[in-house]
Amino acid sequence: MNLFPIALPALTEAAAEPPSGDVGNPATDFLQGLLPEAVPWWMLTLLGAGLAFAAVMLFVTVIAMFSVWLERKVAGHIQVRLGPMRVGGWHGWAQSIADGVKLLLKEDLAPEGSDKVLFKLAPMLVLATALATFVALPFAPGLVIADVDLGVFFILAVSSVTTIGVIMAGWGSNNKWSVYGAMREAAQVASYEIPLGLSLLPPILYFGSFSLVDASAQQAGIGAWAETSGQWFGMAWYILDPTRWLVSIPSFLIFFIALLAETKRAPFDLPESESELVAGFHTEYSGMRFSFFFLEEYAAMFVMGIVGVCFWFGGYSFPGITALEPGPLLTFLSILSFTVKGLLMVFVMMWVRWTLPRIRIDQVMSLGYKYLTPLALALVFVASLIEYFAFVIAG
Amino acid sequence: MTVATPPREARNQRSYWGNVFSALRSTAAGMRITFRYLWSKPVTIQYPDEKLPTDDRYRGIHYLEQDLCICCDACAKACPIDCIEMDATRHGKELEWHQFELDYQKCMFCELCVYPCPKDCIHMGKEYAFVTEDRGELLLDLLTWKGLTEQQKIRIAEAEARKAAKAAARKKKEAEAAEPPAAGEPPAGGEDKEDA
Amino acid sequence: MASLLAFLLFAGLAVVCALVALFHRSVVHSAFALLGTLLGVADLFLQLGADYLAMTQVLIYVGGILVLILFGLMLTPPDRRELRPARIFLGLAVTGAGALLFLTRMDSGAWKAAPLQELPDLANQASPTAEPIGLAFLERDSWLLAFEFASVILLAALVGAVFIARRRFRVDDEGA
Repeated sequence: MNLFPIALPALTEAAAEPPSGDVGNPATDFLQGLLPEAVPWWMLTLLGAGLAFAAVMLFVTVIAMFSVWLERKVAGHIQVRLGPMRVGGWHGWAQSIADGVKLLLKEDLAPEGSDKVLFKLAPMLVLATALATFVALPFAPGLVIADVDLGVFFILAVSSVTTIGVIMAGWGSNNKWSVYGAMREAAQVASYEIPLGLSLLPPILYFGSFSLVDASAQQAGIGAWAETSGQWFGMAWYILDPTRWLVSIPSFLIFFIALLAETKRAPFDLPESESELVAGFHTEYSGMRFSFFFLEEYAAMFVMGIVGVCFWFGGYSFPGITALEPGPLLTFLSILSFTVKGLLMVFVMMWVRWTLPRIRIDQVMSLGYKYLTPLALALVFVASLIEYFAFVIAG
Repeated sequence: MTVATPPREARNQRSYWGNVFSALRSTAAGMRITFRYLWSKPVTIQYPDEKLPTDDRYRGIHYLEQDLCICCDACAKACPIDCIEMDATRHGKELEWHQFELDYQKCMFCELCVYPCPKDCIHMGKEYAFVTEDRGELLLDLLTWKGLTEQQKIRIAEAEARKAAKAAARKKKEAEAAEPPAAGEPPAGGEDKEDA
Repeated sequence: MASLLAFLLFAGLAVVCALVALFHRSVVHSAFALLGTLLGVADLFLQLGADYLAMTQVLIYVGGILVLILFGLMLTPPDRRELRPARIFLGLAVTGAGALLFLTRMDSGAWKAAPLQELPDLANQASPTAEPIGLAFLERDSWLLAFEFASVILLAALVGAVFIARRRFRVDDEGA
């Protein structure tokens, strides 16, 4: 047995293979049909990137605004209140727009003695990472800005940069509450990345891919998986596979708990716990810079919810939709199903927030290290056994 | 002597799996409760558009029945903090109102002004939202009109006309009395008494 | 051409941020500047077609190690003894020797740097590397033993960390 081979035959073989598929994204393809032939490729790439960015920014802003409104309504009704009712007429639907305009017009303050460079850089870094995670999301069959093979790994990696942004904000604010919040965030997120990643492994083993695009296509029964889609009206969802319930349900629970900690949502909102730390790391921020943090929170909630949807609840697939012919209608309904599923996950996060009290930092750590991590590890073991036997039985 | 060990639950020391399942169970219970509340009817209302009904005994801003009031000052005397000020001129039976001011910077809504009123004309009202931008506006005049109304003027004129007529009648009677008096006629005094 | 531009951009980012990390007066700024270096290096990995390595670089180095560095910096008071000339000269000597060795070796044999123009556009041509890496770690006749060795070493480190932490606590409890 050759224990330490000098070269990796598999790797070199993989590198020698020709590229698979085109390297453009939907935005570039769209522009290619629109613009004359003479447009240089680099301009096309830049314009495509700009278009994709604008689309993502618009989507994120609308989703975040809707989520803020939803959060306030959910909070209100759970507490037997009404929530915002005035702005815009019907149940205060324009409240978020009014708040956004207010935040845009507010003065951009930086506290005296703050580290100006870090203070101004932090919100940008945080929002940029939140927007970057949208790149790998499959909105509809074939509609993904960048078909990253390591989709979920990419999302986890990029969203871990958010932590640096939060520490930057906490340090740059020159405020002890901000630093406390940042330190809590650092400890909490670094701890919960482990169970989060581990709890994603069972579905990754099931689908045999890191890619959200692959996972969604498999569950929708599209392309190479068309013949497996007979189950549950075309919903080959991971959570609906009875042979995998032993791992799929507990792994989803662990994923959901770790997700709450990762996105700093209650009951894990220690970095911004308002009863102890004023507002945590964003205490000193006002106006647009504050709203960047706000946008990031809701964007991260949505993205993480979508990761859960893509791996457990079938991504954009929905009974009846995936049977349609490929076309604008299919795309539209898929985007709708995708968005509604993501928002349902966001709703459950809000529901949890208004149910459970904030837990102490030692409880956070004990939950992460003593409960979620070992349980997730055990689940990975069980899941590999199940997938191995499934593979053996299937032949 | 042995003391019975409390059950595990009571000592708040559960096993590992006990912790896991109790966390799941209690979270599920809490989520069920909040979900039920989510769809229940809100207890709050849209305040300025809808208002909760006030109680019959509610003590809001005073309400004065000005046409009944006789400016007797009983309420002002009863007021423990002296916040009522009234002034009127008397024209025979009619009152010419100048002011009936209540200082709501002082008033504590004790209702003591209501009880001594002989005409039962001052009441505690229902109005409770009287925020002002200026303290001076809290010095509220409860009068619905000031000075003399047209009706009062007519009534005063009628009363004066009656008085004049009566005086003329008396003069005439005196003149007749100076002349040889008519026997057996009783002196007419009903209207005189009323005037006094 | 595009790959060259992207290479220059991200290599420049990495180098400039590394210089900031070296020479900035504030040690916290230095740590934050490492973010740019690590992200730049991750992008260089991406351009070489090593997507798994790039993601791991970001996840582990930015999400884990950089956070820990910042944590350590903010929780420890500055140590004046570090500014003794002897220590500075020792550090300079070691890094200088390392750099000298690297520079002399870089110009020869397999380390010889390729001219910039000949860089292939690997980012758009390479296939995903997650699967071959997984197979290389776990297949028969592969790096399985090395992989398991690494995990045992990490486990030992973990146990050691727990041991150190526990002992400190016990001493504190007895003192109290």
